Amino acid sequence: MKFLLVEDDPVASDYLAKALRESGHVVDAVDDGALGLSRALHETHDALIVDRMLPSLDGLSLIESLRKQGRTTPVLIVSALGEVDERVRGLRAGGDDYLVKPYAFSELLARLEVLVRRDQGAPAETCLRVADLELDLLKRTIQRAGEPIELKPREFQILEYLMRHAGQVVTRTMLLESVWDYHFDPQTNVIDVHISRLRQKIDRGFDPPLLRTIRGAGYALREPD
Amino acid sequence: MNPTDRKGSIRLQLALATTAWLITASLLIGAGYLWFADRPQQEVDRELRSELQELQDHYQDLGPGALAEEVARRVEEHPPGHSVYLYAESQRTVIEGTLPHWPEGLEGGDEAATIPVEAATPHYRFERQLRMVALTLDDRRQLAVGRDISEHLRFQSTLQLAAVGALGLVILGGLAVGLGVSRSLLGRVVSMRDTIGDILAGRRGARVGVGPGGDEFDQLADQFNHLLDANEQLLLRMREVTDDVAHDLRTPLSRMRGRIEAALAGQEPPEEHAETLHALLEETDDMLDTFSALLHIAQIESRSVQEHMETLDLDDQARDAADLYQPVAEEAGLDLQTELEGGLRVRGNRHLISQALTNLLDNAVKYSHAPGEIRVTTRRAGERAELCVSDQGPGIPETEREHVLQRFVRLDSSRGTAGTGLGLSFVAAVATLHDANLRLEDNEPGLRITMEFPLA
Repeated sequence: MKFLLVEDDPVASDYLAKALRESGHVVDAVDDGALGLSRALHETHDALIVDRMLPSLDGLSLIESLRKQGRTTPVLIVSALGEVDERVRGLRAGGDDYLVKPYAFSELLARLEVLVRRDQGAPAETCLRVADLELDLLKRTIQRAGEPIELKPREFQILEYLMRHAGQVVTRTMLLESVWDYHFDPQTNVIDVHISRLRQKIDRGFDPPLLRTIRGAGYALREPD
Repeated sequence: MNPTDRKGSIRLQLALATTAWLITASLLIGAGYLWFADRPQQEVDRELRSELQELQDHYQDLGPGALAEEVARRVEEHPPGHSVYLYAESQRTVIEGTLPHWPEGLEGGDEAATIPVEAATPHYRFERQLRMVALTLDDRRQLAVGRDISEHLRFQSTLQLAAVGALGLVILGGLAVGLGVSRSLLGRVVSMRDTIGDILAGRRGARVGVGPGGDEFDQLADQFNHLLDANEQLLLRMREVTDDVAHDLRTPLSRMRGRIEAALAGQEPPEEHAETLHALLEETDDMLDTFSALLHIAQIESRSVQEHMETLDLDDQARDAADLYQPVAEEAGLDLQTELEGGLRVRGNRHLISQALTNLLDNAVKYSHAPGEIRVTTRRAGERAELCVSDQGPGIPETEREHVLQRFVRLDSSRGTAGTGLGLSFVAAVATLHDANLRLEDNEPGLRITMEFPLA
């Protein structure tokens, strides 16, 4: 994938560009807001990574201008401003996701992939399917290999999120945000226990296991290659 | 420069205003006095004129002889200290009358005049003041009627003296009162000013004296002292935080530095580098957690998040958080129960209340021993809504309960467990922001923490 990185801190920018390239992506890096806007308008990218505080044009204005020109390229805002109202401001300006500095690279990568995939547009489905696991959104039922599985409401929500992003890495923070609307990380890894319970129900006694733990990043629901 | 010495000082302005008013008032009183004091004399003049008219009529009707008789009769009738009558040939020869001579200065005409006369009695001589009216009859003879107004004049002059004296006293007294009042009022303002000066000069313990009266100045001084106390508290807390930050961030930083130094100095084999880096990353993450938690608490305490208050369902908050911790509690062999009242609406920041709740649940799970029970309860208590998390862990001794709400306080019994030591400080900050009372109680056994919100 091809990303445009607009970040004025040269060390942070170099590090991030290098890490993204090592993950197999193409990165255009600029350190100035106006320049970033012009490149975003004249070139095609899969997603933009935009810092908020930038020289010549701040990140939010950049995104607003981009949206006014009718561009729908997904934008991930990265900022040291972490309060909930700052996040809301970022999303109102037209950002698609908001990541607070400092962040783990795996978190940023997971979110970028989700953004790009979302942009490619999944059709409105009523039934989600991964291998022989089926989730019926209307009846709110789950089957694996034709066998019904009973899930608690929260487990259902977690599984739904994982299935909507099947094949992608989903981080603990993403699950907390989407299922609980919590924009903070509790001190204990509470999500891990939810996942292990969910795994007991959907993977135990079935083959192959679908719910994987991605070390240092999160989880992914995917068919083995 | 001393501000009260300036021309624009309030004390001077007040004194000038008082004086100006007193002078105006005095002038008004004086004018009124003169107008009233003049009235008796006009009365006398009118009487004299009508009596003179009477005698003239008598003369015209009955002739000069009868007039002389009438004058003699009236002289007989009235003592000289009261009325005076004169019927004279000219201004020299008196035909009939109270006085032996025609007084100097008395002219015929309509004008009444005050004439000083030397009166003699067999025993002493004294001067009398007569008010007299005279006229010239057809036969060129003179007729005059008068009243002795000496007593009246003496009384009037005494009155004038008294009035002038009183006015003087009033002005002087007014000035004194004005100066005194302004001095006493401004003295208190000046004392406040001096207190501020003291505090600015570094004597932070200085306070304004509050009188026993409870008047507006006392109230002002009291409020002012409260402000100073709050300010001092903030300063103290800031110093505490600085000390805490210095301690709690410097310790891991020194550890990290030592480790990096050792790795660079080649004291560890290269194959252990990866392990070192992992440990450093973990340590960095812990420090970042501590740092953001501190920052977050500071933001809440400065009330910068006030604008995100909404009306929310307290039961929903409790249910969501309990849902999140249910599996963790079960894994730890703990029974997490919810007991929700339903329909409890409070005004608050959803994110902060959720985070405070997860902090409480985190602690409850961390400090409980299996088997045990954790309860999340919401309850209506009068006009307030209680949100309560209780466990059956070791609890907190009563003497430590106040203490654990401060930053970085971790009881010795919990030194070994993970955590920033900021969880309860965060809860306390959130409670304060929401005007919620925070209670730490004995759950017999265990700890019960209650946040008591005002109902929306």
